[in-house]
Amino acid sequence: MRLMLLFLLQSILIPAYASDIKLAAATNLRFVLPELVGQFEQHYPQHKVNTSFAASGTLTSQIQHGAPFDVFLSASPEYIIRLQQTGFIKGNIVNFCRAQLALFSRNGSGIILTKNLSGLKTALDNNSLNKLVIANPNHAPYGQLAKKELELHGLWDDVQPHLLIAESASQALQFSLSPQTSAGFIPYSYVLQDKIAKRGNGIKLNSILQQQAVMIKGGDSTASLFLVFLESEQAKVIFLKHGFEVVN
Amino acid sequence: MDWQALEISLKLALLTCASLLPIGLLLSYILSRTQFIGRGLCEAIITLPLVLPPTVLGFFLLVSLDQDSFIGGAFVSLTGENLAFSFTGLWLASIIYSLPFAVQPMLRSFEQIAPELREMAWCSGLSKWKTFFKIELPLAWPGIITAMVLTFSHTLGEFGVVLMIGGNIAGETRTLSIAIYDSVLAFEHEQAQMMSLTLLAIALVTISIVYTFNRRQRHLMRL
Repeated sequence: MRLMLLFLLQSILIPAYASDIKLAAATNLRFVLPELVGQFEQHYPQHKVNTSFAASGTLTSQIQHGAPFDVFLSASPEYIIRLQQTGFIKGNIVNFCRAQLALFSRNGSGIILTKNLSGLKTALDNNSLNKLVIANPNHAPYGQLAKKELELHGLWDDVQPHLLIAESASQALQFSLSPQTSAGFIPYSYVLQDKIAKRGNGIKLNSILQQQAVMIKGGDSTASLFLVFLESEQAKVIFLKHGFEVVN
Repeated sequence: MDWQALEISLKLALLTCASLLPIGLLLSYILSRTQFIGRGLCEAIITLPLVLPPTVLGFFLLVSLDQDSFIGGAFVSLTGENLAFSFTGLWLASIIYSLPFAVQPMLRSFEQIAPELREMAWCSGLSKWKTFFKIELPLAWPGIITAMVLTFSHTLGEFGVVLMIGGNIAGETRTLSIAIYDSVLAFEHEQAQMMSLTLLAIALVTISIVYTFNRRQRHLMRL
């Protein structure tokens, strides 16, 4: 009992892993970041990286409410600008890669995938469109991009009754794999994952999102090591492998 | 299996129990032994977290733990730490969130003790404190155990509030229930399954303890 109390006391007084780098990362980086973090920790064994994934808008709101992150990796420059204007970031903005949107349909959904979304139009016309998944355009960059894409092809109004709104890009993927959905707009990098490729097909669309990283005000200075690493040749190889675009 | 998340969850649940034991005893004893205007309102406020959607509670907590707010600001100037998105903030939230689960069972068992028993103890020369520790506390024991077990399992299963004010930070605010949600989104269904089974097992064991204990107690009382 006394030991337990001591353990409890110690764990309150000493914040766990004080020297860690805390990353707030957009969900579209969910499958690429573990590999990057692994490489980073091999280079700097003394630093441990903890990652929290959520939609960029959600993370921005958390940072503005005082969430103790060191680095923010946003799927869109919009949120970095918002944090910059309200004085929540410091240092340079790192443009580490560019990401693309994909239209995905699970095996057997019968939707024909084309860049101009004609398959969706056909399904709408012959009443065979079930649910169409997008991330929430209010706080998820991929949702905003999906909305733009649908507007561009004049489908936004027609798909309204079919829309299934996910909380983030990763939830959009999860919804897209359910039997009730016809198709979904998800990050292109997801489509390349083995476990996802097995269950459906995706087509890369033209919309591009600039991915940006930045240090949060009050963040640990060791966090800059991670920002530098994001632009290293080693990181670029990993990003390319996962379907992102990098500038050389 | 995310062991770190399990550790955070257990730590949070134990700390919440440890805090709610004295708070719950104090509140339930006062409520059971006194009559005052506004007692109904008092009890309603304590029970409120039971019926409020976690998002409502989460929103109010988020706003009040913010460093620009009174409570959050005071905490920052006292300790230099931020309350929102910290383990301490989560702990504070859990105390509020689990308050009815601690107070209600204790209150019921204090109310069941006949006032004559207390008066007899006083007549026999026992002080108020002695009466409490020797007579009332042992009689209220089943209620107190129930309160602690319910607080523990309820805190362990907290999700909505943690999602609103926790921010899913590993080693700080990522509890087991959040880790389950996260691994479903990351397509790690085996992980999610294992963690869900762990929570299920803990919940089943703790609730069984309450039922077994209460039955034995009732049996003893009858003798």
